[in-house]
Amino acid sequence: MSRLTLPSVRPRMNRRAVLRGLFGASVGLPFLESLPDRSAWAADQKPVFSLFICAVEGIVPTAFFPNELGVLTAKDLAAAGKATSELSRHAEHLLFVKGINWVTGGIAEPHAETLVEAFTARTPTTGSKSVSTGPSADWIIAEKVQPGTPPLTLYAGNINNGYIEERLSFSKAGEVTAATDNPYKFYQQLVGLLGPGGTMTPEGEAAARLLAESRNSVHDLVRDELTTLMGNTRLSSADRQRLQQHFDSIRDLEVTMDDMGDELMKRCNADGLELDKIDAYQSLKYDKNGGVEDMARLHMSLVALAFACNYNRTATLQWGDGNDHSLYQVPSNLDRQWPFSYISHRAQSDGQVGMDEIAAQSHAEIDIVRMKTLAAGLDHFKARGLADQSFVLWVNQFSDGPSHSWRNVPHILYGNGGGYLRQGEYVDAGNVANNQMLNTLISTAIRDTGDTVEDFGEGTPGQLTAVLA
Amino acid sequence: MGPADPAGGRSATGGSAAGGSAAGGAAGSPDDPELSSVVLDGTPLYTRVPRLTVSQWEHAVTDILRFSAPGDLSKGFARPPSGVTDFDNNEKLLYVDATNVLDFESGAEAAARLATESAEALAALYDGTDVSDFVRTLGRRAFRRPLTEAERAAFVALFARGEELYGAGFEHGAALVIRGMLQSPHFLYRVELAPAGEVLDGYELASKLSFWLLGTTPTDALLDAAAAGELDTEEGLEAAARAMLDVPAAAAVMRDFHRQLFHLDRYASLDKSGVPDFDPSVLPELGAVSTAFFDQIFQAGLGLREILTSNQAYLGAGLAPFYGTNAPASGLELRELGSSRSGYFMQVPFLMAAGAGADSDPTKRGQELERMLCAPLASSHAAELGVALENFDGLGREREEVGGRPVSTASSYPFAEGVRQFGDGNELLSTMAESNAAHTCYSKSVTGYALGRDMAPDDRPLLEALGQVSLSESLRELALALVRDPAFRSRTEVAP
Repeated sequence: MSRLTLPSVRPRMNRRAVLRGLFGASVGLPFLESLPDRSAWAADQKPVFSLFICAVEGIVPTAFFPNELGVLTAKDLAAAGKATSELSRHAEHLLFVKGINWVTGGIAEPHAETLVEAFTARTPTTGSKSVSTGPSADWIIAEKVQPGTPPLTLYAGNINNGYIEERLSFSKAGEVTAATDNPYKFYQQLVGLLGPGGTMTPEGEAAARLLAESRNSVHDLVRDELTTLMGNTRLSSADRQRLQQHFDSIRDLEVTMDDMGDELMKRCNADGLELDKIDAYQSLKYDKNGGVEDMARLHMSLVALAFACNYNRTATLQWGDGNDHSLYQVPSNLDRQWPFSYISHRAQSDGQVGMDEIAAQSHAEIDIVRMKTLAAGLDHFKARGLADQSFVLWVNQFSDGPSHSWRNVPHILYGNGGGYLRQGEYVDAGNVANNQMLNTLISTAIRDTGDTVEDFGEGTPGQLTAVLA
Repeated sequence: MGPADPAGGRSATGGSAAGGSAAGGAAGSPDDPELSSVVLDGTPLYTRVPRLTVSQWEHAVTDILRFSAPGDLSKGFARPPSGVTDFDNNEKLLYVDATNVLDFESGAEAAARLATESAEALAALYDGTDVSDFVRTLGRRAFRRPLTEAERAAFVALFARGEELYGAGFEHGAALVIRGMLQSPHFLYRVELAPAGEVLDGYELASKLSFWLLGTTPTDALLDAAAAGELDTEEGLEAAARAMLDVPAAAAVMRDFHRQLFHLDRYASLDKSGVPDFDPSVLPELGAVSTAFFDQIFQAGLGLREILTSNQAYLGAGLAPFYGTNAPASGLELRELGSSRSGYFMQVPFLMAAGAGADSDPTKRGQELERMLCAPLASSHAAELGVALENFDGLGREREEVGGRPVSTASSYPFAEGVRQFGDGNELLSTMAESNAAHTCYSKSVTGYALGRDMAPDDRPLLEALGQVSLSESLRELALALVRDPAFRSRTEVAP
């Protein structure tokens, strides 16, 4: 059977679901280039991809950004002698922003609450189980540009033994999105999309058609059952919403995935992936010595691939977890082996803070390590041509470790978001709440829909002009 | 013994009370109103359509399709976010979103393949060729109630569609029916449609009981009992529950309950790097002995009192040195620890986990003890409880001095019944074992896990009554008391 003999009425199936069903998760390298039937995006509707990253435990402010605002050049940034000097090779695509606060400070448990605030820009519930009081930016974007496809939610760290666990992505108030921590599992998700090596065979085409048609029959039946159930008057409105979400998810599964642009598709391949390292996560347990950095870098490389393949339009990555006892083997900590939480607190305690000077030095060294990791992750975005078609936002939950301060939290932007965002500068936002930054970034990410957002979260509405091109 | 006496007063307890040793000797009620009772600040949804957990899905599919044992069909399923609710079976986590739809679809397809890939597998599932009877039989297992006529007809039509697509053959029709049933809301959700405030019907009760106590779908026999009306009375339901509690699967469910309640998973990656005398090879033993201890609590007909005060603990070769005793010849052994250690909180695994490196951490230990009282978050009194365990270092070893000074374990704490002084951990845990708050709090956890929802202020009378059962009886009897209660047997009133 050749492709021309496919039924004239195409099965209502998402390609991702078809391939996933056909090949399961245990397949080899993706065949990427051979995905059939793709077509370019309309020239005026290029998608913008967005990655929101929040790291934990603060930075050392005096050793992080350059001393002066203004133009960023690779040469000057490299010579600045700051942690962000590690990003110098990306200088032309970077925007450093000072003067942004969370909408409110940590109230009872800043390690949890500031994570929740980072991309929701709302006052969260309090305590170590803090959750949001509204959706996060990634969900707003996903529902606008890829309805039915949840954002990617990633986590680098010791998720099973972190103090806070995942707290960045919320579909709505109180509903945290479960994160994928293992890069191998994330890769397998992508492979499920991408399929096995080689062009799909005629037998594969036929199996895909049967699978699609049989799934449609099941979906029709399930939708009928859901409709009948939702009509039961004893159900509360919340229960009806719960079932409607199920109903909508089935419908969205059948919407054919947006076709991909040829230009970007050329970069939808496995080039540059650290496949050996990713594969090692098949059996590797979390390594508290540097594991968080490895996972962050691998996750970033896979997000870049996911974007280049139009697997997903938006993602979050939580970089560490307060008090999870991750160790950084930086020079000043080699003898002491203090976990990062102690270093950030400047005291040998998860619950107390102090003024230990060696810890301050260790923290500055850790900032350098983290910026090296960020630079390596951004290499993948650059290699896949995403600097002009995406943005990556890196923030830290605190501006400073010991004080757990929520004011002037560091913001680093990479990529111009389709020409919408300023590049190659260090700017001052002017002591504003992060809702304005998120208004601007959400608007950037949903530009192809023709919409903008002015009133995300709490705080004064409007765009953050300091970051606009 | 009732809640705090509001007329009483107490002095502040800013530090360890010197010389205090009279457990229960005490000083009136707390002046800190938040500490006066178990905190019940949950916001339950009272959903009528809680989804099966991933574990329940796997076990139910195994039982419905007559597989020999649970496989790994759900291995790649999305897990619910952790840390948002007390237990991972909370209704707030159990909905179906786009990710779950994909998971349940691929899981159903894999299960259907397994069930129909050989004549033997198919015969184990249904030994016949009557399509209508196949649909009726499988449907009753999957939906946990008889199918309506409309449902039967829809699945018979789906069977025909399977043969139309994949060719004639019972296995082709059966496979599509299995896929349909395993993605049906009547399988994925434990649907409760009884009128508000009224007793659930027999089938709904059978499902509720079976998924709670056995973690899986009701047996055919239990569905038969439901059909015969045997679960409609309090006595009948209790008898069914009593029988279930003797099944090994019930022990696995209670193990999961205690695993989550006491955070036993943390032992696998406990970090004591750089601490002298600590070898990470002991980590698996920490979890294993703790699991064995809680298994023993349930299987021996014990309860919270023994969790807090038992002088027995399991240990293996790795942990024996920390207890200062000889190692068992092999495996784990249940040992008498003598009078120096009472209950789980004075066992080595907990003391290690709630320590700071080689040293103790009274605040951390106290916070975990406060959690057993359902005290308010961020209470300033936590360390006052942790002080009682100061005669154990960060590796759980007994010690008599710290930094050259005699260790002090005397302290006091504003319990719901009033401020209580205690001379050491044994006295503290004995006090807790007599405390209404501790038993009400444990009942809160048991009930929250059983009902799969938050506990709210309206639940207080129920939980206090169950607390009284826990005070004098076992976890098993506590579970049965809950089964008898209208809160379990009936639909909670909630505005539509």
